[in-house]
Amino acid sequence: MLKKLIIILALTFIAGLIEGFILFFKKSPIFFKETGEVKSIGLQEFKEILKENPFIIDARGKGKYTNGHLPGAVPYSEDLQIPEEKKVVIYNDEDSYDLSLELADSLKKKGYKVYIFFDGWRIWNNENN
Amino acid sequence: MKIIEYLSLLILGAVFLFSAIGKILDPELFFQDVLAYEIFPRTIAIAGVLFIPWLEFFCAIGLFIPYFRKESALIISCLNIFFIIIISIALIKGVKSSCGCFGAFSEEISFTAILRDVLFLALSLFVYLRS
Repeated sequence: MLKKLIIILALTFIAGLIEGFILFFKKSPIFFKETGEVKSIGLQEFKEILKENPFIIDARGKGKYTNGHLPGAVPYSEDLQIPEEKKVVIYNDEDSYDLSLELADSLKKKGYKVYIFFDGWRIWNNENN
Repeated sequence: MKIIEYLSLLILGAVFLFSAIGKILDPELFFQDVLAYEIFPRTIAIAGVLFIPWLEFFCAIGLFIPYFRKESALIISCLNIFFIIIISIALIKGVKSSCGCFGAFSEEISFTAILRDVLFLALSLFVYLRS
């Protein structure tokens, strides 16, 4: 019995390890909580911050924004006017990962309190459908 | 009795395969669900996200292979006990979030989820004892 248990656990371990490597090299938010000085948030934290009426930026591009976006979000553009007192939440997807990090860094340097909600629209959408 | 055993196998195998694939295909969502329980530190949550779905996957397959049936049923029983405990803790803490049981198809943490896991526990113990 022990032998069979070990076989099942070993298979699990190998598969999990391979998945872990793949996610790590894909820079999955599972492994990268802190992105420099910018804090990564999950759905629960986003809901909390939402109560404070933050400035939400959709980094995915206008096409995807038009198809659906987080409540109160605005699509990313270079001439965004962000009120200084507001917290900023940026959400992205796989294609806009680098852009969102650059944007977060530049806003952080300007003194904003910035949060990144990785893959925010998909996670929000899954929760609310 | 044999019919009940086959039916239990079929239900357990299908449910755990469905549950595993949902989590494997969307690890980020499962990770958010695990964190939302507010029970596990981040490192434990990462380990859970990487290994629990695969454990479910191999055990679900194992149920259909007579050689591995007993062990798979035993592991699934342990998993169900674990799920019942953490969902109960989350309920007591008043956590309102997806239970993460079936990836994107998960329902909210509730007493129903506990009852469902108790049913799966009974089925898996039945399969274990009959194998």
